[in-house]
Amino acid sequence: MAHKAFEGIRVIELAESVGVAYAGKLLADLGAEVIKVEKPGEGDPARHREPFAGGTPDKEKSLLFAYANTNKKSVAVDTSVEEGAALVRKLVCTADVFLREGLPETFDGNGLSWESLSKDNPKLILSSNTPFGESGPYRNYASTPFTLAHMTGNCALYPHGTGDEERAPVILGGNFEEYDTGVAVASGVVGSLIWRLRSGKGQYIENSSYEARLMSLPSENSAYPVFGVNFNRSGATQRLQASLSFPTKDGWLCPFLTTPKDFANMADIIGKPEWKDEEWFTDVPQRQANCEKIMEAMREWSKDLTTAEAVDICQSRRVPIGPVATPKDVVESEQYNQRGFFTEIDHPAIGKAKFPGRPAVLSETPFSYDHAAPLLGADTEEILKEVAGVSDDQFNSLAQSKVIG
Amino acid sequence: MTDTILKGIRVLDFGTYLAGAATTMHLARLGAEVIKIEHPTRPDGGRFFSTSPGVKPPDPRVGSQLFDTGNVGKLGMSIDLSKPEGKEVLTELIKQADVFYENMVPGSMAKHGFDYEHVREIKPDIIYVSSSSCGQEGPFRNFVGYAATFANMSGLGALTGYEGSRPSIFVGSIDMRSANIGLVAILAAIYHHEITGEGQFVDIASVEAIASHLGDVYLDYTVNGHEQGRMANKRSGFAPQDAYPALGDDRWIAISVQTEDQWRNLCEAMGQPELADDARFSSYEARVENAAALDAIISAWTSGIDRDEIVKQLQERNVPSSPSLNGEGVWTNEHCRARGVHVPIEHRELGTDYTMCPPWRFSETPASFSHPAPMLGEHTTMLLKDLLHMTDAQLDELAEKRAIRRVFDYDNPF
Repeated sequence: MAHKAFEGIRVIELAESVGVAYAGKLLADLGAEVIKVEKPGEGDPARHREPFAGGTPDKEKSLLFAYANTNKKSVAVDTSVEEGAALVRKLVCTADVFLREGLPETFDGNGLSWESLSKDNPKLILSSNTPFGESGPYRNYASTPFTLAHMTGNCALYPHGTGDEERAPVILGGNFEEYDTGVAVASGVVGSLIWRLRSGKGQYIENSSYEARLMSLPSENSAYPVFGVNFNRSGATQRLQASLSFPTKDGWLCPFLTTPKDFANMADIIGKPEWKDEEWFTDVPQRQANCEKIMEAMREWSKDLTTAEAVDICQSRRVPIGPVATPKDVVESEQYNQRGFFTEIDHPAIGKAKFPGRPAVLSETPFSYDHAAPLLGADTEEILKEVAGVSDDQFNSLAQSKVIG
Repeated sequence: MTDTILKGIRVLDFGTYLAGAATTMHLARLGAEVIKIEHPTRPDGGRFFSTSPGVKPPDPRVGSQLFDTGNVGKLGMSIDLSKPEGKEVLTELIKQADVFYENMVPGSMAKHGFDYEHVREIKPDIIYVSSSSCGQEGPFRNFVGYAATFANMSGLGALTGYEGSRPSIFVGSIDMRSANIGLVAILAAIYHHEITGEGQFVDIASVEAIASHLGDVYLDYTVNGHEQGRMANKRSGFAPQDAYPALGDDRWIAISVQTEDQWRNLCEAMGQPELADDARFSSYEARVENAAALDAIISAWTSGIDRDEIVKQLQERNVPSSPSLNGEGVWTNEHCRARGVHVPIEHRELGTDYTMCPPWRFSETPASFSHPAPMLGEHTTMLLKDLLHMTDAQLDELAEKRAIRRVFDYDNPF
């Protein structure tokens, strides 16, 4: 029987980036009660970002928002006014985790600072999120996910091995790097929950979107200080391994050839078995010098095959060559579908849709999708009355003065 | 005295290359005792992996720079699981372990008798983690692949770079995304174990870990039938947005405008305030429509000015902007310096190596490393004595049978 890992854990999310929202989603999908605090009226900025179901902007139909906020509750509270911040404070005082976004000093006057909250809720885990961290010369820099990505050293490598090295470096596809923040934040929070079981104590975690991205770049960013080498996007190393992407009759293939066995098998596959006995092919420096000749033969072999056929042939010989999948290919992929990566979720505004699901499979405490992302303010009344102890009269007066929406 | 999050958690680690090795490296950084177990003469392939062109091939006993960043903080032990004595040693270690991690080709651990079912018989509450390109189940379970292949299987290659050009290939940071997702899953399993005493099986498929970063792109297809392609630096909601050439060779500046105020401020910074109301650019929609013309204007301005000077001018006006950095740029950047994002690792053989700072600064449980990646078999003797209370005579016997490797010397490793 499946359990929810974080059953009984309450998380308050006061954040406007997709990155921090994704941390809330990971916790919610593992069973935590995640209460997202949004601005009355317009709501979370992601509600206004593409793509929209049906194509027309609608704050209840952003697919980006719908993906990054599954299983959450939404309360619409204006935290820029004192009464609103006080309501959020009440919620946080009942909570286990507070996902907060903004420089610490912006919470000094409104009761949402660590000093103030930890006094009343000493077991609280507070993840403080900023773009660049709480110190350093860029702490107040204006940024977007795009400018952060360009600062990590990663963009200098992309697109990799495509012949576009004279053109501008680019960010990874989709909104890929924004989700890095969520993964880093979630791991810090879960770690702190583990520690709290043993110590009985909460703690403050300083997170930053920038350093969350650097978490994935220890090797790339060590090359310069250690070897004095700047990686670039030319793909020179992969070219020598005959491992640039190459076309089939209906798509592209992505190889990653490394071992002598990979090359020998490749020679058989492309109909050049004689190469296996020739010195230019078995001696690594000579083979590298002839990488263009090898890639030319690979292209000649693949041009009359479909991607699926070519991949089958290579994988049956244990040669690491895979398909360059498009989003449609992924959605229709047997592998993703048979493993249950996609799951149907019924969203109140979008309707039933096939959602990408869990990032990993846990046998006893699986990621699960019981609720779609909330409509703006869907849970305001229930949460404020039941959790924050707001009376009917107070609720009506807060609504009238537009503190809540 | 500072505490750590995973103090007292013991991990047996059969993780290799980067995706596998780094998952448990994260656990070591959070304070777990991670024991990396390798074959005495056929160790982790990551030890051989040269990441930089022109750098001489690493000594596998020491390990490459990539190996070091992927395995820093671990202890190293060398056991031959094909030998009955090796199996016995591992069986005894499993009895004292909390987490068992492997990223071999699916089925390999079963061949040695250490798949989940068997390990669970030895230690009923074990958290057993398998990680692979495509996962333990499904038609592609035996798929052979690395970062480039599994990134492309998730659609990332079709989405990264320039329309009409080739799909991008990928390097190590893709492995790290799989490791980072693995970390979240393992910590959730440890939390559940702390509460219930129950172990579980965790199946990480790198293609799914990567795909989870592209959820909104797939939804665009499942809901709207719209297939996104390569958009280089353009994304909806931001215009103008691109990396623009600055003065000098391969120097770029990232500019990203989200609001009308930022747009006006950008025009002022460029010394062309009249541009703000130019009909071609006066709304977000117009700037998207006329992106090529606008980019040409911005590039003409940026290309004559030093990168850092432009950033300074734009930041004074609150326009989101940053230098677009390469490895050297990150190393020398003033903010990175001030934050200490490069963490030195003092290595007996490699000298000073570096990794990146952890993404968390915990007030009570600092994440750090006590030692570099282990040399092959470096801690075999210590661990077998400490954990299994073996005597020198017993160790000699195991070494004679080639079931363990306990010394660094290649000529006489046993």
